[in-house]
Amino acid sequence: MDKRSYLVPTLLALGVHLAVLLLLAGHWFDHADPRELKPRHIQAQMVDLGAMSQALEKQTEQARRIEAQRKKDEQRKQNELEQVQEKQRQQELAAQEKVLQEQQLQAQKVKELTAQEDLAKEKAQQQAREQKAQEVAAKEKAAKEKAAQETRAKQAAEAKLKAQEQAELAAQKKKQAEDQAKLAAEKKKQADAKAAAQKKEAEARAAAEKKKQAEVAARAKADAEARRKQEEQQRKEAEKARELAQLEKELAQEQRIAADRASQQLMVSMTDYINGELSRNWRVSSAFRNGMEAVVEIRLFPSGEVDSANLVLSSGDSGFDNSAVQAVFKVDRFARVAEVDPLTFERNFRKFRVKFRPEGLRW
Amino acid sequence: MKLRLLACCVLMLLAFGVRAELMIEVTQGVDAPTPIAVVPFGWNGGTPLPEDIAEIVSTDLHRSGFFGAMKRSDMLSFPQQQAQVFFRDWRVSGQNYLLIGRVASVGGEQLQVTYELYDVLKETRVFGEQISGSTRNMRDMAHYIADAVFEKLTGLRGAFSTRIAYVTAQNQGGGRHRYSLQLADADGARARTILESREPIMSPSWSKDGSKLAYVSFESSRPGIYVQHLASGKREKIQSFAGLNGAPAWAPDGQRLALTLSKDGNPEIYTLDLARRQLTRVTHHYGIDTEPTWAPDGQSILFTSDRGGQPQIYRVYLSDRRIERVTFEGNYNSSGKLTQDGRFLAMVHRSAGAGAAFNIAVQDLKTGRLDILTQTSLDESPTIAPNGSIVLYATQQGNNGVLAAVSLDGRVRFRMPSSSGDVREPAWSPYLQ
Repeated sequence: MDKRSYLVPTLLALGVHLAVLLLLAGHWFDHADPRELKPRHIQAQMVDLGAMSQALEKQTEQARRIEAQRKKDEQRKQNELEQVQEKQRQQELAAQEKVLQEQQLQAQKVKELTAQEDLAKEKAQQQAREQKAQEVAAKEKAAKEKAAQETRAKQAAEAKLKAQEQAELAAQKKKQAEDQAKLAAEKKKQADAKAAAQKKEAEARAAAEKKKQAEVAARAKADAEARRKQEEQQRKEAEKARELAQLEKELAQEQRIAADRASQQLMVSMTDYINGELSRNWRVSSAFRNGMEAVVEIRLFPSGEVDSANLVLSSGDSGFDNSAVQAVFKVDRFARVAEVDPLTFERNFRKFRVKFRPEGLRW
Repeated sequence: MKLRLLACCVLMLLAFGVRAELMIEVTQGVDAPTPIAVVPFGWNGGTPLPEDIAEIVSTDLHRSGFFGAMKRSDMLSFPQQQAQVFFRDWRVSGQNYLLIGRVASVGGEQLQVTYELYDVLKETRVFGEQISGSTRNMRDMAHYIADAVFEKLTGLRGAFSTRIAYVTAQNQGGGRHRYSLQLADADGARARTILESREPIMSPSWSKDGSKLAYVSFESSRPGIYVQHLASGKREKIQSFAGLNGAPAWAPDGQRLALTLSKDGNPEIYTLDLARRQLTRVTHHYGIDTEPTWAPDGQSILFTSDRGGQPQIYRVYLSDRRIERVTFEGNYNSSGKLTQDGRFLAMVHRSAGAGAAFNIAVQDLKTGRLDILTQTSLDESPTIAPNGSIVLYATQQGNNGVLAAVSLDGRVRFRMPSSSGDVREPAWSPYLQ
């Protein structure tokens, strides 16, 4: 609770007490005259209602300034609060839903604080009004007593005094009415201010809500955008991965083709080599004829050395068959076969067949 | 249906295990004889043997054109038993085969010859045999061994044990000659005279069983055709018509002779049934038809005729007397002789063009290709070994005629051992029983 909130009632109370003391000061000084003590006279003291009125107005003006100051402070506080809220909302944006809830809670707290403050203010005002009313009542009572005394003391001037009292009473009533009106106006003003504050708060809330919705929408949009971007990214990554896979596949294909080509070249090279070796060692007899054909199955050791050579298809001519088998054994060792990798050797050169079919013979 | 499916599945499963096996095709080889080493045969007797069996075998194989015999001077060792054979040595020296043997005396002139043939590259024994004979027929044993080795390694029957007949003419001065019909081993060795005459002897021809020779002799007033039994030496005059009687040729069945007779005014081809002495005229043409030779199937006769303006070889089919020309290359083709399979025709050939010589040529009757085998100038009278590997012919060396031989592919040429006099008209015998 801010100390300033008690200042106005305290000042008002002091003002009322001071006014009462001023009113009673003359009466106290009259007690020094013994003559005036003996008879029972009602001593009337002239009360300067105008001065009182001015004092009251001054007090009211001061109270209004205080109130204005208070409102200003409240406005400033409100602004600060809003700034804080704005800041919190910004933080909420970062912290998303959780921060928003916290902000709501904070707003609720602020609202409650404001309501408590208002309630305290109203209570203080009410106490001040009640105190004032009590003082007024006491003052009326004292005035009545004084009037009665004066009535009793001055019956002659009773009417005038009565009139004056009535006037005072009326003025006082008027003043009370005015005070009440003021109080009502103040209350209304406070209510208006409260309503305005509530409206402003509602507007702020609405704005915040709107902003929040906008933020949510923006966030949703951002999320959607992020999702879209993520999907796009995923699509691109998938595309990239697919391209990479395709590239790897093509690379593997190329490597396979290259390997096949190399293997084919190796095979061609090796078959040419074997063919050359056999041709150099195959003795073609004059008894051979074009169209003769014999097939020999050759088994090699990995060193290229001939393990065996067996006739698997005879030409029908034993001399021709013998010459084919002899050609293989004459080579004895196909040296370059030793350079072939073990897999290729096992697949192709561990065992293979050679067809001896002479061409270009005279007959 | 299920069975079919099951069979398909089994076949497919089998197919997984089947992989195309590498097949290399060799179409070219080396045009060279197969190297063989014939090691001198061991001999356990005291006195030297009259013949060197290993040398005869080596010469036979070498002259066949199929083998290249290793010189003895190049041999690192002379093994006689299998235990003494170091294959590596023979392999290093480039030999494919190794023949070793040993001769043992079994009492008197009787000998026992053991020989073994080894495959140097496979380091295996190919075969071996033990034969018996006497010191007098050591050449026969050697030719027998050569025949066996030749047949084992080439698949062709060897012809080293066959004979050749030929005519020699000794100039006795004064324009007189002495003619002899000679009979010799296929390598020209052991020649012996089976007929001598002051008159020319021509065209000897072997009967298919090798027991008889037919020939033309001018020993009487006019040329006559004679048949002589080799075993007994008995001679028989078959024909002696007026005019030309010549060029007898035995039919494959041994019952007929083809002859050239001019008894009808013009040399024509006839056949003579020896049993019935019946002549059959085969050709009817105003040109000269001569030098008949039988096709192996006995269904046709090839002969030389100038009916086309130049001597060429024709074929007449006995069934319908249809005649076809066989040779077309060159301006002279005569003295045709067919191989036993009837595919190749050896002949005297002269190419077209001035200055061309008379050479021995061979024509593949299947393809029509003709190859000239010799490079000498006056070659004549070709005769073919029964296995078709060698063509023997007469040629001129200086002023004398000599015998020479060439392999059917022209790769191997060699001269027969020189005989005294002018040698001509060779005739190679068939396989002898």
